[in-house]
Amino acid sequence: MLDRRTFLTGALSATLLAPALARARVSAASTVRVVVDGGCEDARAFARACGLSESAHQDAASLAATLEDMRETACVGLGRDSQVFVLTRLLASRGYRPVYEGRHELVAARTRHTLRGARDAVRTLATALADAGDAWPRWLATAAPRLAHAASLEQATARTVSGLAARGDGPGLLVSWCLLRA
Amino acid sequence: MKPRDALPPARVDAGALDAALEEWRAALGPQWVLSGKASGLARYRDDFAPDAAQSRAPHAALQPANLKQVQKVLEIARRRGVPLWPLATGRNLGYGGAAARQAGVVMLDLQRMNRVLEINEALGYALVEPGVSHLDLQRELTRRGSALTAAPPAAGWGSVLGNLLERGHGYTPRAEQFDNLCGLQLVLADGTVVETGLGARERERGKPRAVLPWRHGLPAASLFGQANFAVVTRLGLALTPRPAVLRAYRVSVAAEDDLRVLVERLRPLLLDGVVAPGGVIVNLLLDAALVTTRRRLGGDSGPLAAEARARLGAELGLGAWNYHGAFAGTADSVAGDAQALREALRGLAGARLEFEDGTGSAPGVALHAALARGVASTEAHAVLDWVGAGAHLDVDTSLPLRGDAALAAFRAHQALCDEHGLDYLAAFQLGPRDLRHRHLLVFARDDAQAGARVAKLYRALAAAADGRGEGVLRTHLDFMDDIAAQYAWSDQAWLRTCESLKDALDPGGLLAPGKSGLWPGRGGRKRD
Repeated sequence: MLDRRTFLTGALSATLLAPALARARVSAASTVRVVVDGGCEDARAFARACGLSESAHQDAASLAATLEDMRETACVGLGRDSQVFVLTRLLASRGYRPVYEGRHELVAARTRHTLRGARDAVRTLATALADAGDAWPRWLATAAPRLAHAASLEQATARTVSGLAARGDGPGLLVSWCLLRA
Repeated sequence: MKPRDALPPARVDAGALDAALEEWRAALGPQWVLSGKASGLARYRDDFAPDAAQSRAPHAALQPANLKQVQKVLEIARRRGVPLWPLATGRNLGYGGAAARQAGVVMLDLQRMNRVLEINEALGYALVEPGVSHLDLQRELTRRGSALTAAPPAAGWGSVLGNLLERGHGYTPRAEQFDNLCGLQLVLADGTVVETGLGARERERGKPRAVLPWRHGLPAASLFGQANFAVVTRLGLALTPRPAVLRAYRVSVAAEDDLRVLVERLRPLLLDGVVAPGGVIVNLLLDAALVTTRRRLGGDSGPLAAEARARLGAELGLGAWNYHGAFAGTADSVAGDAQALREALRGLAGARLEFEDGTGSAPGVALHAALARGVASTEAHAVLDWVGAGAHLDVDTSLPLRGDAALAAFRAHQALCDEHGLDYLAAFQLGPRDLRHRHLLVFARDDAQAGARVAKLYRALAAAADGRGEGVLRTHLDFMDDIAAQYAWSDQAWLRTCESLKDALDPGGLLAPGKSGLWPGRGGRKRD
């Protein structure tokens, strides 16, 4: 059991993160900030799928400083609701706007996904997650950057359920997001 | 305390408002006057509103960049009769966030005034504008290689100025934020700029040495805490040098009823100055919520049973109560203070003293060690995950520094929480003579029923606290009139005094109507 929250974060090339970004509003030449909760396996799986080093730990104070200096075009991640709450508001004051948000909730030993973002992208992602089992964070990491196509958060909502539960060290609710610099 | 109906919107003449908006656009630049649906006004809301249905929607928001623009905004508001709600960063979550008391006002958002104007390394103070957060100040201190530190609250992303004026507290030995106040710059409703400290001297011409909170005559600064008499545009803040040695520690006790004896053992040390103010006695669930969630502990609703709480404490290495403190000074003084604490705890069954050594420990130890060092962060928000997408409404009361008072408050709050189906997550902060009981009512922010239940519980807790002789120190927008009414001795003499001041300093009732239960027109314009 960790005694405090830690984060994995890093700035990755958009092309490394996902080829889809090249077709999105994020150019291949730009970088994307990835932030995940360091304390639960689902989030770490997301980080690995993004190519993030597991040694890139930060505590909340240094993460806040990182966000204050952020220059990346987009920020994506998977973490606890409280982290996303703070992060989205800190970055809003720096001109970043949410274009995708997903809620991944443990319900009756299954993971229920509620995704909001660009219509086609969230529907495609919902289909992928339905068949993903406990590998859903990896699918999410691959597909979520496509959601950067969206102009706003409100375009569509898709819901699905993964066949297997999240790993036992999770909080019961994780939130994924994509923020784009205006 | 009876539930109140939602306040009607402030009455503003539509024509006057439109004319004022035009003038504000000309004065500030159109991009700094937000109005209309797609303008970003959604930011001015209470993210943690217990009653999400109650509209607090403002007509518009103004974002001045400097003192002159604030004066101009006020001049237009005065002429057009449009009430304003000043806001620093709007992160006073648990008390109303970025929302106003009632709908229909215009937000005066001071976030763009975000300069650290001065850091005086030799005298130990800073001059900051309203939009400077504790994270900003910390970054600037680090950038300059300063040896000074502030006393950030648990959530360090809010305004330094706002947190101080709203009577927030930190965790360093100078925990009481208001004690760090060294002069304010104010703009009165008539546009007059006032300095409350030494900056009022003709020779200083509003460029103060922020070394004292007061000067000759009325010590005025404290009139502007939690008040609506002026717009505060600059703060002088005392900073303290980092100590040569700081040793954080935790004292845990096993049983819930041990709270009484823990307070009794600590009290003489506080009065003697061995234990510094800033330490806090945290209950098991509030510390546990930093790393775990209610859902992980089985069952999704209702308060965690006593047996389950005990199991959780054993699993996480937490006591029923956990006092997080720190000794600061020289190696010798810290060793002496630690010995005095050991002796004070001798014979207290189930008590454990543990020093933070940076290698990991029970939840809360590392966080409080960082806070005691003056490190600002947002880590404490983790407790909101206790209920998934969480919010909190805070009950913040003062009671005498006595074990029996603490135990009575705890038992009453625990019983009411059980009755209302909520977990009790709380802490007692120890001052030299009083205890601040801060109880976080943590609830799911997307659940209207949970919000209503929490509002009902708040009213019950505040009424019971009043009955025990405890004073509520801060409160959410929804309850400001109710709490102001608790300070009703001598035919509401204090409230009437404040209303007289309000009407003298802001005769048009322009600034933050209803703030802290203080309305213009001798209180009579509440529901106009």
